[in-house]
Amino acid sequence: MGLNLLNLGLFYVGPETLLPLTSVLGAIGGLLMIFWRQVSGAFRRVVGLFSRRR
Amino acid sequence: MSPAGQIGPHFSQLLALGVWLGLAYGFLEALEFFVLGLVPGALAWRNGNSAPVFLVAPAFYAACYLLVAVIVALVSRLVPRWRWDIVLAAVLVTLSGYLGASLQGQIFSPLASVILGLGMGAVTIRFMRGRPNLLPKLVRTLPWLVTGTAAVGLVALAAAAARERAAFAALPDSAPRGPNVLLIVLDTQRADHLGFHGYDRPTSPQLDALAAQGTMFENATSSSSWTLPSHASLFTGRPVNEHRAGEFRRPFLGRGFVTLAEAMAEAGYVTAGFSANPFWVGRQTRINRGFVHWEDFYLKPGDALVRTVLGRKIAYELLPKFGEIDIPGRMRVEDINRRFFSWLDGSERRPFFAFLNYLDVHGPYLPPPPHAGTFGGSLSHVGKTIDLGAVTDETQVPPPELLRDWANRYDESILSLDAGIGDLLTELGRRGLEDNTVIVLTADHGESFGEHGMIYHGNGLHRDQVHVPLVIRYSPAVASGVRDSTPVGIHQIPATVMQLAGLSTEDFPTPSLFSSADRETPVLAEVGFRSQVPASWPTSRGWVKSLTTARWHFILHEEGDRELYDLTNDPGESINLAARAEYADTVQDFRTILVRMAPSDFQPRGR
Ligand SMILES: [Zn+2]
Repeated sequence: MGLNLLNLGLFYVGPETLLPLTSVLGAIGGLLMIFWRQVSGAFRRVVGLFSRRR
Repeated sequence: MSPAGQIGPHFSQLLALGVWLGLAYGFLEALEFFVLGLVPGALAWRNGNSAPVFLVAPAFYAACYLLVAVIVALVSRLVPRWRWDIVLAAVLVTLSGYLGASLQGQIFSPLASVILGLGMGAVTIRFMRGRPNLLPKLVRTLPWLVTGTAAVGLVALAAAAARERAAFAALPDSAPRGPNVLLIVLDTQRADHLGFHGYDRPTSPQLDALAAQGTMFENATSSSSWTLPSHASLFTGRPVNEHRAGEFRRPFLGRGFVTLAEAMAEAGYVTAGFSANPFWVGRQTRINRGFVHWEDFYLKPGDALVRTVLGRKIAYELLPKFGEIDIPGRMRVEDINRRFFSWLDGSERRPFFAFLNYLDVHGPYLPPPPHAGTFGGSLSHVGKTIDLGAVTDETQVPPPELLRDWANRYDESILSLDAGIGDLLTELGRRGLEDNTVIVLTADHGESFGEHGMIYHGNGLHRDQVHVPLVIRYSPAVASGVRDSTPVGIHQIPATVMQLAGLSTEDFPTPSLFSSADRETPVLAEVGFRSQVPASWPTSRGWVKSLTTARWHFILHEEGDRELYDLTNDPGESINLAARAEYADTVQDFRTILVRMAPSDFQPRGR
C-alpha cells in the first residue's frame, strides 16, 4: 500500500482504502485457528471452574 | 512426526498432493473473483476478472503448487520418515489462505492475510495428523478433481458466450438505418502534443490527416483528469457530480443514467467495446454497460498472469525488480485493431457502435521500435521510475532531464499510436466503411510532465491534464477541414453520436457538439478527493473543479483555493490571477456558476 510502484508506477491511483475492522477480525480469526487448543483448553477450564462451584 | 516404523509419503504422492491443492485453491480463487464480481465496487481497479479465470486459475495454481511439491519431495529424501505430506499441505494451505484473503486488497491488510493463512495452515496440520490415511484417499480423487475443474471452466466459458448471444438476440429485430459509429479514446493523450494542435514535433501525421478530413474541436475538455470518471461522462453524457463514478469509495459506474452503448443497442446497433485499459475500463467498473460484446481481459499471456492473485504478486512485485516494468500484457494499438477487426469479421451485417480504448501513450512510457529514440534524448531512462517517495515532498518534482526524457518517450509513443490509427483507418477504407462510419476520436485526459509541480494525471485540473483532442469525421454530415474553437466537453459526445445516427437525444440532455444553442456555457471538469496520493497533489485535500471558457480557466479547490488563468495570454497557466482585485468579480461569477452546476458538492458534508 501507499506510494509504491503498484499505485503510482502504473499511474493508477485509485480511491482505495483498507477496511480496518475486517482486518482486525481476520487477524483474530487467524490467531484463534493457530492457538485453537490453548483457547479451547482455557475455555474448558473456565467452564469447568463454574460448573464445579455450582 | 511420523509414527515409529511408518515410511513417509511417496515422491509421486507428494506431487499429486501439490496438484490437488493447486486445483482446489485455483477453483476457490476463481469462485471468489466471480462472487465479488457480482457486487459493484467489490473488485477494485486491479482486480477485474472474467470467465476464463475458471480455467486459468486452477491450471496456474496446479502448475505452481506442483513446483513447490517437487521441491518438498526432493527435500523429503533427506529425512524420509517425516510426514512430508503434512509439511507440504501446511505450506500450500498457508499460502492459499494468504492469497485468498489478500485477493480483494481492501478487506484484509497484508498482515491480517498472513495471520489468516497461518491459521489455516495450523488447522491443516491438526487435521492431517489424526488421519494417516488421508493422503492416498486424496490422491485417488485427483482424476475427478481434474475433470471437475476442467468441466466447470468450460461451463463458465460457455455461459459467457451464451450470455453474449442472449444480449445480441435481445437487440431489436430491425437494424437501424444510421451509419456505423466508431468511438476512439486515446487514453492519456493531451491535445497540445499533437501536430494538429500546433505541436512543434511531427508526432501525429495520421491523426493530422484525420483531423483535416473532419471537424476538429480545438478547445475540448475532458470531464475529469483520470480514466474512470472521464469515461463515465463520455458514456453517460453527465458530469462527474451526477454519475459520481470514480469518487471516493465508488470505483464503478452506477446504474443511474443511460449509457451511449445502451441507447445505441436499444436503437438496434450491435455494440462492442475493446479496452486496452484493464484497470479502469474493465468490466469491474461497470463501464461496459450496454456493450453486447466486450473485451478487456485475457487477451495476452501477461494479462492472464495478473488475473490470479499469485500471478499478480509475481508480475507487480517480482518482475519489476528484474526491469520488467511495463503493464503486464499491455495491449498495443495493433492488438486492439486486430481484436476489433476479427470481431467485425464474425459479426452480423448490421450497423455497429464500437468503442476502442488505446493505452499506448499511457505511462510507463515505453515506445516500441522503430519509434523509440526518434525524438532524441537519452534512452537510458526508458523504463526507469523515479523514487516516488520524493513526490510527497512539496518542494520536489522529478529532475528536469528525467521529465524531458519522459516527454520524449511519451511523444514517441504518440508516433507509434498514430501509425496504428493510420492502419485502422486504412483498413476501414479497404472494407468500404469510410463513408458510412462516424469516427469520433478523443481522449479521457491529458498528462503532466512537471507543469505546476505535477506528473501523471488525476491529481489536478490544469490544462495539461484536461485539454484533449476531439475530432469527428463523417463526410455525409460533418464538415471537413473545420477547426471549431468553441469550448466543448467530451460529455457532449453521446448526444452528438445520437444526432449523427439520426436518433433521439432525450437520454442525453447535454447538447450535441453541433447544436447551435448556447455556445457560451463554460465547460465543467471535476476530479474527486483521493486517498493515498502525495500530499502535494491538490486531490489529496478534496475535490477540484474547473470551468473553461474561450478566454478563462477557473479552478476551485474544495478547501477554497482558487486559480484563474487567462488562456489567451497565458496558455501555460503560469500566472494565477484569482487573488487580484480587478478579477474579483470574474472569480465570484465563476464560483456562482460552479455552485449551480454541481450543487450537491457545495453542501456541507462529512467524510
Ligand atoms: Zn485514462
